[in-house]
Amino acid sequence: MEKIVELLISLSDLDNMLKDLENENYPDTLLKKMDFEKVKKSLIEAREEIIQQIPKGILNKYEKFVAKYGRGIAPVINGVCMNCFSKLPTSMLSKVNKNKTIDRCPNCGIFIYYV
Amino acid sequence: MWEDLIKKGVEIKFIMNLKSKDKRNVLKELLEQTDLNKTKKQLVLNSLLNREKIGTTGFGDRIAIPHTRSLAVKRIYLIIGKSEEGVDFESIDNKPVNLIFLLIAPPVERKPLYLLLLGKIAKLCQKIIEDNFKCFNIKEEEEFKKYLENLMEGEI
Repeated sequence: MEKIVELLISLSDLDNMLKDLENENYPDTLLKKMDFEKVKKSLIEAREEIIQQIPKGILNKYEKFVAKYGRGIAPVINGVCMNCFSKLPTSMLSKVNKNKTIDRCPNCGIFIYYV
Repeated sequence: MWEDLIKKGVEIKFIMNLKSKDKRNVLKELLEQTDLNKTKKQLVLNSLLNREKIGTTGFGDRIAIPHTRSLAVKRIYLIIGKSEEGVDFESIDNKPVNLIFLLIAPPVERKPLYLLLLGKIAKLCQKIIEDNFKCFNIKEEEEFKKYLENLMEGEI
């Protein structure tokens, strides 16, 4: 698997963690047991660690997508991009080396990962 | 309770006797129960370890609830593991953990279930503590399932 895709997935998972922690539905009983500011700080540190390994051009695009769509990489499930919900062209879906190259959705441009 | 969750697309697995003794290996052992391939298991493990890095999910009282969203999964997985000897989960009270609820969810859900389920699990853990950890002595999987089900009284 392409290393950069792997890093983008880790980055996206971390971003989702922060979103979840700030979500009003996150259980209070668990929130009470953690120091939220400390967690947030560690999260930013973990993010920095990953960011350093991603080429600048790709990272800029990722951040741009996060600002625009709320996520930088989207899963492709059953041939559909889970960001814009458009069907990907057969030429992309029938590729043998899926996830071995950095692919983007031809419709919305977001980075994609074939689940 | 379990049937309802299965109907909602949650994959549930139980391990009654965890062999691993530390956090990384126990997470690996729990992930072995999923139908994910090796690469995806590694991605989920990375995500779980990143979650642990920002703050342990060993919330004390011998129970841990590691949880994360991961781009590598299509549906929600709930894997419940029990360890007789205890696992070093770097808990907030520094005590070994005997019961682990591992929850993994995809980043996008048709109907939001992940956080609600996490809340129910947190509640369930509270009830286990109030019931003096009786479930730690149960050895049979079916009995264990029923016990948890009764404890929740159809709340999930």
